[in-house]
Amino acid sequence: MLDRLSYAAVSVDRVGYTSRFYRNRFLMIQPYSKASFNNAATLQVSDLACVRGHRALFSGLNFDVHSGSAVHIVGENGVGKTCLLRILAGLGQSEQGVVRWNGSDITEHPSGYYSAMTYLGHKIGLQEKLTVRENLIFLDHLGASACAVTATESLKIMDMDGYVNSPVFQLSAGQRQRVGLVRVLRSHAQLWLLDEPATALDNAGTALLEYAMGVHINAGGIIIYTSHQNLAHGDKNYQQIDLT
Amino acid sequence: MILKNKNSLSSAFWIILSTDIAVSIRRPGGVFHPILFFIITVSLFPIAVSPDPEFLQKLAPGIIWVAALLATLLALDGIFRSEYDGGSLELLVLSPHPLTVLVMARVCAHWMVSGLPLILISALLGLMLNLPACAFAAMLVGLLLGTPAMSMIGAIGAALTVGLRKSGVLLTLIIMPLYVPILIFGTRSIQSAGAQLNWIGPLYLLGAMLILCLTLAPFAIAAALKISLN
Repeated sequence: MLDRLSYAAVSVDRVGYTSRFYRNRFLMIQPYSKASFNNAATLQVSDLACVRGHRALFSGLNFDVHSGSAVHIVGENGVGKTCLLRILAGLGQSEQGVVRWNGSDITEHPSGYYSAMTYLGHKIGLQEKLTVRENLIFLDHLGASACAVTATESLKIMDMDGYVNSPVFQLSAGQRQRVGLVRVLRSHAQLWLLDEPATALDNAGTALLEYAMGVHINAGGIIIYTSHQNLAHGDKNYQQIDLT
Repeated sequence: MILKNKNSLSSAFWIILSTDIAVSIRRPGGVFHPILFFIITVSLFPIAVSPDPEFLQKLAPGIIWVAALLATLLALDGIFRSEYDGGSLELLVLSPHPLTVLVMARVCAHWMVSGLPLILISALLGLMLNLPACAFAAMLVGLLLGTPAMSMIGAIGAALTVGLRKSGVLLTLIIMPLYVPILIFGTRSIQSAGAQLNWIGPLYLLGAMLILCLTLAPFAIAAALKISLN
């Protein structure tokens, strides 16, 4: 199992969570990631280049990610991390190069790719006037399949179950980020594209995020994320890509 | 393992429709401003121009259609604005369902909260402007055909300009010329009905425009949204 479990067994971790606590979270998180992942899934990036305005951000970018691994994109501010993630999500346009999911170009076969991928950007995608529950149900229906777990039950993973009926405009930035992460889990997607997922999260929230990421990778998921801090989601199949 | 229920396209359509209507009702400003604007503009004419019933009867078709057009224009910016700011528009584009259908749900919800009340109120305002009884049908059917077409054309412009901070003037400039044919045939129908002439003809043309919008606008809106989000 995760190294987090073993080290938490001997002592309490930096935010005061015990191994028993993580065992409980594991049982909560695991079902979301085990949903029929394709073990041979691959995201292939070849010769990707991105231009913003008149500035060339990066070019000739190549990497492969396979099922059960994580890619951490690093680089200074403005180097094109968000741009890269948006291109991978199919939201941005690349100057040249192709992104292939299981061998097929994502711009030519978007529907299959979009059922397997979820994106969490700087804008979390919650509507202010709706409650947390309404938001989760709404976003559930946009995906290929609806999550059978109730919103309250999934919000427990990020300790947000007390806010299920609160309108989103009453939540703080960190709380919104937590709800965003619950949405990512509920999407059952194999590929997670997370843009600064630890933004605005407190230590406990970051620990939960790291743990959820670890469980997802172990179950055969793929995570591509940008972050300025090192997220301890376990070292299994971890690669770092520096855009500078 | 958690059970997954396959989401059908129709369930996605209905959830967008119902959620958008719920959101609009919770944000009454956005919904009622255009309606209020419509009522105020129409009721100012008798005060400013002349309260003479004969005179108002002649002006009525024009007043109602121009006010309806401006009220629609006023409501346009709200179609995608808050979803764009909050980021749920990105998630809409990233849905595996066809975007053309999903945006139509949004436009449909927008018309239900902005266009439909306008049609209902116009009956009352028609009475105020001394519109002849025989012209009411032409006015109601005309608005029923014209306002959804205006919502759909407007949504193309709103999707194109949603990425800009101050899009109001640009949106008006893009959309206004496309509204002119609807305005012409809408008013023509009421005038013909008032003069006991054949008023069905212009309505056929309005219907044709509505069908044209229904078939082509979803693709244009979807393409414009993808450009705006890039």
